[in-house]
Amino acid sequence: MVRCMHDAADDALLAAMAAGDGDAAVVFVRRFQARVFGVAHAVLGDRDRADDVAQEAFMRAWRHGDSFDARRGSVVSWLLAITRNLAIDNLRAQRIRPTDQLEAVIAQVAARDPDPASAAMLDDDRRRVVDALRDVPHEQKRALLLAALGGRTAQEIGEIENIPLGTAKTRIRTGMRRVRAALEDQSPVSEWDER
Amino acid sequence: MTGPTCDDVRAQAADLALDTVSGEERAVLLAHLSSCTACRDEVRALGTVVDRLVRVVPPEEPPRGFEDRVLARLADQPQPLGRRRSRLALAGLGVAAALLVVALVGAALLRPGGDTRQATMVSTRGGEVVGEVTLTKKPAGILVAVPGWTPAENRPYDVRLELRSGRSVALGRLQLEQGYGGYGLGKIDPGDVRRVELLTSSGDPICGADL
Repeated sequence: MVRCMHDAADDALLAAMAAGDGDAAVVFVRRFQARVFGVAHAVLGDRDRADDVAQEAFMRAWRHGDSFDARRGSVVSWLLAITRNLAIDNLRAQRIRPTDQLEAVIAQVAARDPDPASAAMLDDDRRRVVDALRDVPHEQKRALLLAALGGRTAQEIGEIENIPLGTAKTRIRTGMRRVRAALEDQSPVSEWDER
Repeated sequence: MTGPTCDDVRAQAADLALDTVSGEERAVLLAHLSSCTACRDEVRALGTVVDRLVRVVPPEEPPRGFEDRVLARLADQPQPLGRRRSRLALAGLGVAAALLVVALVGAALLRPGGDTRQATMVSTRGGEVVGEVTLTKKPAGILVAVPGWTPAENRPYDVRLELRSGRSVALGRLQLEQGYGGYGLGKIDPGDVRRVELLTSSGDPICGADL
């Protein structure tokens, strides 16, 4: 049965898991565990805490899977948003500074010419987002990613970057506007593209 | 005191989508969003951009045994609530909450194909899907189901309705037990309701559903 589930679409798999199908749960966890753990680790910079947060993300997905609405986005975006929110809540509770792990991810994304090994790991949608970020000035890209991936407030980004609060806000907002425009210029992404 | 204009809110829409605003700023912005569909759509669109940005993080193999730990936790859980809508109101509820819900919406919810409308409940902060809300026509009532969402599981929240006329109605205080609670709509026609929100005691929306 697990073998049959391997080819199931993400939303069908989620629905089956949410309905209590153990085989679907196995395939769902295997399919997304590296993505979920990657986000948790990038935000938290600690593998033990990332492990806890990633586990909790799957628990939330299981509990709320039957309320997932495909009209609002893909399963992987929904799952990673849950992971990000949990990780940021965990981070804020501990008041931790930006981690080396987060800095490494930002540096990798910010690189205009990623190394071939990194480029090969990009799926279609991630490549589109990286492309959308490519022409955003470095300081805006950094501020935007510190906020989006690291959960830092504008105030905190001002302190990290040693810039006034107003400048931090401007960098975040301008970066966001540019990325949004670039993403909207691209063709839509299908669920199958994203896997 | 007047609230912010749409231009003011649009200027801070990215901050709100990224959750980088202070609590006080957030309260002001969310109060505007609760009555402005266009600005709410703008923040939601930017929230989608944030979701896509998160996807640039490279996958990383979790520690050894991660999969087994997750599956063991799933196996240890009682059957999650709300898996079948016909049983939504009853599965796993405390006695008091179950009686309340049954009194309000019982017959309509328990009858498959009954006259109900359902929508996904989304957290105001972060846009996370946290559960669902159900409106029933006879008797007229709402059932909020956010099981497993820690901020709301066993707390009272004020319920605010947004009607199709644009009018907001403070319905009353809803006590959630294990993430579930029900409330009668009185003379309000369920068909007129286009949004349901839960508010903290300070009036900040914590989650909402568009019907």
